[in-house]
This record gives sequence, structure tokens and C-alpha cells, in this order.
Amino acid sequence: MSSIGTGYDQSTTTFSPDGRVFQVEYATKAVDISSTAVGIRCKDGVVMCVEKPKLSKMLVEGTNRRIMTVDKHSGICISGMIADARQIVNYGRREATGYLDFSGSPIPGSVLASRISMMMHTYTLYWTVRPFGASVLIASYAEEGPQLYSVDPSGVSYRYFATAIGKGKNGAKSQLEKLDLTTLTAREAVIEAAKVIYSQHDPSKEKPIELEISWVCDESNKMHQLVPPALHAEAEAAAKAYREAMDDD
Amino acid sequence: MFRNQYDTDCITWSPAGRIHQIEYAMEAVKQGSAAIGLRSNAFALVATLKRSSSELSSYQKKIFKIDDNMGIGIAGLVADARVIAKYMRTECINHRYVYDAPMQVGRLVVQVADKSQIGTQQVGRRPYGVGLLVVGSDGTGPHLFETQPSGQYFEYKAMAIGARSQAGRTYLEKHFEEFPELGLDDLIKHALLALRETLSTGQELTAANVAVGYCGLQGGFTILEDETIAPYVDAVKGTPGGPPMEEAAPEEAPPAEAPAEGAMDTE
Amino acid sequence: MQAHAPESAFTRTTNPLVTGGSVVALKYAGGVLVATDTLASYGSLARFENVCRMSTVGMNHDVLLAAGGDYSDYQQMLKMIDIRATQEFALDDGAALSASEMHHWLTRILYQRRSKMDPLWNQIVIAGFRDGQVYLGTSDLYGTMYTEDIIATGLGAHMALPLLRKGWRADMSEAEARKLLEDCMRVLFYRDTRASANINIGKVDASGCTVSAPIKLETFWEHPEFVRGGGHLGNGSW
Repeated sequence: MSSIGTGYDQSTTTFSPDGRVFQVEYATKAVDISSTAVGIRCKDGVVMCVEKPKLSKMLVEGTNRRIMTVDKHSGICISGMIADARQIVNYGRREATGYLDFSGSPIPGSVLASRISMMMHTYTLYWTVRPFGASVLIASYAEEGPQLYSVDPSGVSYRYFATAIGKGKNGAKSQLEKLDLTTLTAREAVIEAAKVIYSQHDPSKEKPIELEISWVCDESNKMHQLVPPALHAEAEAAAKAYREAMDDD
Repeated sequence: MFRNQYDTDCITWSPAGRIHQIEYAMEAVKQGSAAIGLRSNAFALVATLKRSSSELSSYQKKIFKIDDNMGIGIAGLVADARVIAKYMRTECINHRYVYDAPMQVGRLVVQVADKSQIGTQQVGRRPYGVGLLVVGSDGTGPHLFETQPSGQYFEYKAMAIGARSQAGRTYLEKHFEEFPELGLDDLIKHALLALRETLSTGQELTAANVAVGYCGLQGGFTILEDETIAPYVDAVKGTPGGPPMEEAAPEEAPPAEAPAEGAMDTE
Repeated sequence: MQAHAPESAFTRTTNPLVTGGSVVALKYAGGVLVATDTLASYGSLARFENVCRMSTVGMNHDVLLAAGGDYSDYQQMLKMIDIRATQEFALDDGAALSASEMHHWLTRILYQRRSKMDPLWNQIVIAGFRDGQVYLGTSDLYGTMYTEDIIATGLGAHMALPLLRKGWRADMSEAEARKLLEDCMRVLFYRDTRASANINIGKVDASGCTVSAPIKLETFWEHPEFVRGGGHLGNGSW
């Protein structure tokens, strides 16, 4: 990398001569080597799915969470340094609580995303801190309807119909583009999201993975929660079969 | 020697997207002698191997009681562990004051992990140099958690951390599926056998260098050490396995009895 | 300075505005029944005639909270509990506050607020059921708390409690308990000028926690003494 050894990549508060902030780019790199996560906004809700490496068979099922609930109707899916991302989730929870307490209505996805992106951006402005090594997907289903956002370590945030973060994001995004998101239901999106994750995972090169899948949709009563175990099993089985069919080709 | 310009503080990202200072702090955990944690349906327990700095010194305590339903076993910097233990005790006492009930183990672990992360993102601070095995029981049963200097945490059915803990983990992976139904005595036996795998050549388990802390469904955190652990240590003596008793192999890591020199010894 | 301390001491809302009346509750074999009337008074004015003074609370809605005293403080309390319940929902770790934990938590808040001379002006009753155990407790605006088999707050502490003591048994059926409770609420309606005949009854048992739709108590006003009034005695009393 051309940045190395130039001295312009040591601090968040240093621009390089061609106008880049390398420390932010390096933090983004932490996400680009981490687990793939996808989010899909469909007509009746939002679905998020993330892979988790199976680190040990002695782990208790469900530990090492990467999808967390922020408020009744919204959740965050994380990729990158998990400990960093948890701070983002905690911040999101505080903002959601404060918004509800002050205004009496649940925090809209746009407000949650902008508050989180502003906070993450703050960590790119001062030499006393470092940027977050994590990106987040934000799913929300309040009065404005289902919404999906993503926020990067730079503090940049976009709203999406579907997107992906993490090491398989490019392949995952081109998979997601094939879906018809105007007709897809959340239940169908759970299966599709699982397939997209598995399509980006090479079992011959990488550690085995398991999935974490959440939704906030009409079927979940507009509550953000992990999908029911039966649906999770169905999605994981469909995704594995899809992967095997891929490998056979 | 190659000088890494990205590894001297925790607020500098390396071009590969890593924070070397956090990774170095994780090394401090590996320098400390091993801690073994495991659980059944009724008990969660932690066993530690203690070190003494000389013939004349006592063995450094590595198990701390947190509350009536919780305790920790540590590997790494004991001084850092005491700071975390004090924080955990305060949280537990406050929780009892407010709710008249013991704290959920998992919730406290998340708080500790979140607190650990703070030291990894600000100038003038450093990550904690200690790994914890937190054992305890609450309304959702017995639990075993691991926390790391990075601010990561995991819940395990069995786990080993610290020096040569890979050997302990290998033992546990072979046996952990039996653990749920076992009684306390058998659990302690497995913990000691797993701990024995982490010994360096020539070292052996004694009543002085082993301690076990356990917690049952009814609460009460009990520490077994010295004369109370002696019968268990004697009981596993004849069991095959453990390190060879001959002279040290040349490429072994420094023996556990002689920790590396430094202002902050790891235990 | 010290001489003027009482005048300069900083106090906030130390008197209630819109108030609810008594809460009456009792355990029976396998559960708890709690009753409140539906009136919120503004001083002596019957200002709001159809409010509910009890609610199922907590993440799983398995705890019953009923309150007398300032109605807005009660609403504030519900809001705090809802925020807490949302936090527990977000943690998603299988644990949720029990009635006992909720009771202690609210009492700590009541005590801290009164110590700041800014009390939540309520008497609360909390009921729950967990692990086969029935829970019934109460706290007041000073942060005093206790658990009991029978509880009555407000004027009910004077007028309903004697009736409960006389009629209560640990092995009462739900129907017997309901009858006793309705009798208590009826007497309170007759005697308490700030009570109403419309009541809510909340029930907590192994199957969960529910609040009934308001029911109207049967009343009988044709007692000769009621009709004749007490004026003939010359002292204005019955």
C-alpha cells in the first residue's frame, strides 16, 4: 500500500497530500476482513442476516451475538470489531430511549441512522480517539414503514433496499440485485438472505459458519427479534443446499 | 529489526485493519498460568493454577469471589483483574440494593466487556491485560463466560485460558459432552485433569498450586484451596495423562514457576 | 442561615393534583385479585370518571401494578417501567424482572424521590406470580414497603382492611375472593366521597396477568336509614 511509511497514515487528524484520511480507510479495512452481513428491505418488513464463524464446539448456542435489538421496532446487525460495534449499539439504544421518552413516539429509522452516523463520524475528527472498526446495518419498522440503513466507520450512511457489509459484500450485493424486492415478503427474504451469505462462503477455504437472522415485519408484530427457530432451520438448510448446488456446478 | 510504526498505542489502525496494542494485551493473557472453566446442569466451576515467585513466597491468588452467586478465575495481570473484580462486586452490591436479587451473570459480563472496550479506543489508556472466566448461576441456570482484553465475550460449556491452555482445551473438547449430568466431585476431577494438561514439564499439581471455585444453582460461591482441595488433587494423581516428569524439553516456553521479569508480572 | 432552613429548603411537588383513591388486593388459593375504581378526582371534583388505575407491566406483562394518589405520577411510573422493559426485551437473554424485583426497584425510586423532597405521590400495589409463588406487595410515597396476604391503601386502609381481616382465608376460592373484594369496594363507594362504583379487577395467577373491563357495582340505597337520613338525631350523623 502506497500509504505505508509516508507518515501521513498515523493519525485520524492527518490528511495525505492527495486528500485522504488513511486511518479511516484502515478502520474500514477491519470491516472488510470481517463476517459478511446482509440486509433486505421488503414490502412487509426488514430482514438482516450475518454469518458467525464457529470458533469452538464448546461455545453455548446463540452466544457471540452480532444482531442486537435497539428498540422494540429496530435492530442493528454488526460487522467488524464486535466490541467496537457493541458501543454503537449501546449508543443507539440510548438514543432510541431518549427519543421515545421525549417525543412519545418510537425513533424513526432515519433519525436513528443519522444520530449513529454523526456519533461515528465524531470518532474520525480527533486525534485522541480512533474510528470505530465496525460497520452497522440498521433495520427499522415504525410509522414510516420498513427501512434499512447502513453506516460505515467514516460516518457515511445510506438508505438501501438491500445491502451487504463485510468481506463478501461485493459478491453479496450482486446476488441481492437479482431479487425482486417489490414482491418479496419478509419470510421469503429470510431464505434469500441465508442463501446470499452461504453463496459468499467458501467451505474449502474458510472456517465453518453459522447464521444469525433477525426480522422486524408484520409477521413479527413489528417487533425486532431473531426469526423463530423453525424458520431459521429452514433458511439454513435451504442455504446449505444452495451452496452445494453451487459447488457441484 | 523491523520497527512496527502502528503498534505503540491503541488508537492507531494498521493498514491491515488491526489494532496491535489490543493483540499484545491478549498476549498478556497467554503469559498468565492457566484457568479452566466448565459447567454442568447444576454447577459452574473454575480451576486455576497458581504461581509463586520464590520458594519463600506464597502462591498468587487467581480466583475472586464476586457475589454469593458469582466468581471469576483469571489469567494475565492480577492487578488489572482486581480492578475489574472491584467493579463487578460494586455492580452486584448495587443490584442487590435496588432489586433485592442477585445479578444476571450474562448481563454483568456484557458490562465488563463494554468497560474493557473503552480502554481500547482512547488516547492515554491501555486495554486490560487480563482474561476472565466468569462462573455463576442465576434464574437461567449455571453459566460460564470468557471475557477478553479486546472487549469480546463468549459463553462456553467449557473453556481454558492462559499459558498452554490449548492442551487444556483439547482435554475439555474430548470430555465436555459428559459434563451436563455430572456431580460436583466428577466436575472438579475433570477440571483438575484439564488443568494438569497445561503444566510444564516437571511440574505437578499440588494442594498449594491449585484452587477451585464453584457455584451451584442455590447460589453460594465456594473456593477450595490448600487442605480443602488436597483430597481432589490426591484423587487424580494416579490418573494417566499430564506432562512428562523428565527434564525440560529445549524449545518449551519458560516454565510456569519462573515468570518473565517485568514490572507487571502476569499470573 | 440555619434559622431560616425550613423556609429555604427546596421542595417540589409535595401535594397531588389529580388523584385516584384506594387500592384493595388479596391473595387467594392460586392467585391474587386487585381492585381499583375508575375515578380520578381533581380535589373534591370527580374530574375523570373512566380512567384505569392498574396495568400489566414488565417485559412479559406478567406483573400487575395498581396505584392510588397522583395520576400523572402513576403515568410517569408506567413510562419508566416501559423503558426498563424495552431494555430487557433488547437484551434478549431470557431474564425479565419478577414482581418482587419490580417492587424493590420502584420502592428504591420512591424512596430516592422522597429523599430529594420530590416524591412520586402514590401508593402502589404490585402483584405477580412466578415459579408457583404468588407475590403481593405495596409501597407508599415515602418508600415504605411490605408484602402481605391482604392489602388496602388510601381510605381503604381504614375501611376495607377490617373487612378483609374478618373475611379472608388463605384457602379462598377465586369466586369467594372476588365477592369479598367487591364487598370492600362497595363499602368504600358508600363511605368514601372520592370513590366510584365503577371498578377494574386485576387477576394474577399461573395463567398470567389480566385486567378486566370496568364493571359497575350493584348498590342498594333503599335502607330506611339512608332514606330517612341522620338529621333526626340532631348531630348530623347516622
